[in-house]
Amino acid sequence: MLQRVLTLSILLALLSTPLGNSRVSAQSKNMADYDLKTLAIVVNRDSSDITVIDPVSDTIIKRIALGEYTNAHMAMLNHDGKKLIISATGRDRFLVVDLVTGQVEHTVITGKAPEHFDVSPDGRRAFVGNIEDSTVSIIDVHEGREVQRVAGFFEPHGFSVLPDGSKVYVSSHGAHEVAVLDAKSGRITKRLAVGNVSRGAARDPQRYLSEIKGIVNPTLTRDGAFVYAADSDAGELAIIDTKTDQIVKKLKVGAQPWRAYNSPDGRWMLVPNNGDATVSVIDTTSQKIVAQLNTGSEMTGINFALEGTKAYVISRGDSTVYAFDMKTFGMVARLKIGTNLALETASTTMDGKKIYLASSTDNSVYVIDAQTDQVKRIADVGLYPWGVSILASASPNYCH
Amino acid sequence: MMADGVLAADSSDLVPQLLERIRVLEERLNRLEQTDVIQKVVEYVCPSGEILDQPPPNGRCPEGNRPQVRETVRKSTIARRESIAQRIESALEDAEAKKIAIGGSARGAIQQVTNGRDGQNKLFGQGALDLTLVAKPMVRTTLFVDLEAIAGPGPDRRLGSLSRVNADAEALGGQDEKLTAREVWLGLRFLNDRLDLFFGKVDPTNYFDRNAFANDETSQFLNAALGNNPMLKQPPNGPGMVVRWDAGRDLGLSLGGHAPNDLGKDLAGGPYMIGEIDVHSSRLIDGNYRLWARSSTLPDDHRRQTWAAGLSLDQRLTPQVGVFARAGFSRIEGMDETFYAASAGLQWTGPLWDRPRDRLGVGYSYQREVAGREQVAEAYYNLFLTDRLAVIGNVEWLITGPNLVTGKTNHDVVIPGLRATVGF
Repeated sequence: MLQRVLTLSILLALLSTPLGNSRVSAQSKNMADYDLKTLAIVVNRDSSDITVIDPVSDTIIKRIALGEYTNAHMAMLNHDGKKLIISATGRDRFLVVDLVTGQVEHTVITGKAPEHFDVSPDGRRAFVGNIEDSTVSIIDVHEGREVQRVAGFFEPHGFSVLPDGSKVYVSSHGAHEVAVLDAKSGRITKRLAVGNVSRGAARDPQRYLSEIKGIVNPTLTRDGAFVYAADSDAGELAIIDTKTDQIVKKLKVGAQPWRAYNSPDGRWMLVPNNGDATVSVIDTTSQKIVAQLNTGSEMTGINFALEGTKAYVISRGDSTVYAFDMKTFGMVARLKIGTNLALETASTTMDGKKIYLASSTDNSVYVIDAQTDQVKRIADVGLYPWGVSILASASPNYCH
Repeated sequence: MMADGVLAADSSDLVPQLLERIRVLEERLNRLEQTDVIQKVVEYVCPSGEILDQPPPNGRCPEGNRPQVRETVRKSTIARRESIAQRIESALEDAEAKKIAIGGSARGAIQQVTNGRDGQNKLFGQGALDLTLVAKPMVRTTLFVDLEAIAGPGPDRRLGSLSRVNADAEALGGQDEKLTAREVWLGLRFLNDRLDLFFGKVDPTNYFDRNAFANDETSQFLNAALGNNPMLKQPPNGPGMVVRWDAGRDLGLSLGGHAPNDLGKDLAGGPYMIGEIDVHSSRLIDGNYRLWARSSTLPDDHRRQTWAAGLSLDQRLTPQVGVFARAGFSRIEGMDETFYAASAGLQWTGPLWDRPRDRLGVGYSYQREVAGREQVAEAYYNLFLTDRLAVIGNVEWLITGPNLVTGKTNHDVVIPGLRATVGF
């Protein structure tokens, strides 16, 4: 009997060795084996960590802890495709993390509650908005230090660095203006008035003195020639010429416009209007509104897919994503992701075929197949995933 | 927890860890004592859009023009002492208030009949107060209650028009004043928010024959024939049910069943049944196309059936200008004639420079009914003052039509009017 048991055990041990080896080999693919610019980076606000998803297998391949109370808001790969740069809002810090090793290489003290940022084309400088003290930290990403802190903003919310790196456009959510920042000197060279709320504020002071919804983001056209900035309270969009820094045109969009999203081919700017559940479509050549799409409430983002032929509008209020054909502007799908979900932001894969959408209240990322409009869930990505970014995304990345 | 980690550290790490912990706590405490304030400030804005906080040198912008001096609002953060308990209490009060939303509106209207005859040239006044309650007792369930007090019969007390020159006053149903529960219904959503069901005391015109530019007598056309198709012949608000299916791709299907009258009134007669297909198109910016059909009995002869069909179109031509049209026909059991109605018009948003939220509307309606034929035209200007206050001037031209009060005919009766609505 004992002999039989021993023989069986030896046999089992011998058989399990190849299986064990295959498990090891499955795990032996490390971060350096991946094309980092194609990975989906998910920032989890409440678990203070980053989750990395492989879009090929739709599996989580890495989690990077950022430290307690970090409550990161925005994370993206720097242009070098190696370092993660992260606004650690809860700790008033800016982090530079090596994506492969997961090590925090630099911790930079900033102003209060850094949220959104943009990076110069050479990846050297980050311009970070400290939302609670209305300053902008200019950070040397390579050296890991704050080189300058600029005051004179009002809840600096959105940033766009010109392709030549000479200027940064900073939108204020606590006022109705966009500031032009000289990237080299860090000096505000101009402030531009986007919306005019003087009459409205005089007639209805209770509304206008209780909350300001200014400008969420100054969106650059693909060629960097113009900035499109929407003023939520005023219901207006200003088009700024980046050569002269003058407002060349204003458009009346819908009620409470959120911000402009540019299509990959640069032809369209789409502006969700959260006051009337529509999206204004602007032709960037004629600078005119050419269509108004009916969508849902509380829109948080727009992603383009399939070489810009489809636009996906994320409605946080409806827990629904609306898909539009960008040739006919007709709605081609209405994807009800779930019930009472808070859909946040998304990113499109490099090939334009999938969209990764963060859903904060159920701690998940939803994967939308743009060819079939099927939706798949990746659960337990972290606590309160706030946003997704892919460096080589086929659609411009954004945060909210 | 940070405390556990600190305790577990050996003594050489203890001091740096304690210092780090103190720093974290200080940062969080500091954040709790700050609050946002919004202030009015004066700014100087040049034509290029550039903002200056002080007047420019020599009072001129770089381009040479004078800047516009105006007030704006900006948010800044200050340190203010407010306890955490106070903040929590305030947040809880806000959340509690949102469970049930109470709102309403008050409106007043005056209309002067001119060029009438037989003592018709009078000034008519009308006022109404609406109190609405919206509650969400469960997920995907809405309870809506609208109580209305209305007084002032309107010019049709003398003119007796077919089209009804004051659609708001029609709610009086012949009385001089009325206090009523105008609508009380429960709304439910099913099947991934695609199926809506409303039942209770409903207003059929809220679900059928809608039109983006000609539907609301409180802010658009006052004449009833421009607010809804006269062939709709909807019963007074009463017990009913509406089912709406969102078929996707901007297509909707609705079905309604309604009692022939309100509770406490004559409920004899067959139910009012109506169905509608609606399509939304964004090919030319934005447009809605609706096709409906209804079946009911005559209110004054319950044994006779009446049928009708109609369509309602509204189409934006530009972001500011939209056009609308309605048409419909009806038949009555036992009568060979076909009765019909048609209307058309446009709405122009922001017609005046620098008043982008005002609206101008122009419309014309023609109808042929048992009692005769009538033509009416109306123009209105909705002056937007705030999100909750508007003043609307309008003028109706009753071109020709029967006077159902005197039995004679109305010719070229002009009715200028003024309305004010306040929301709260």
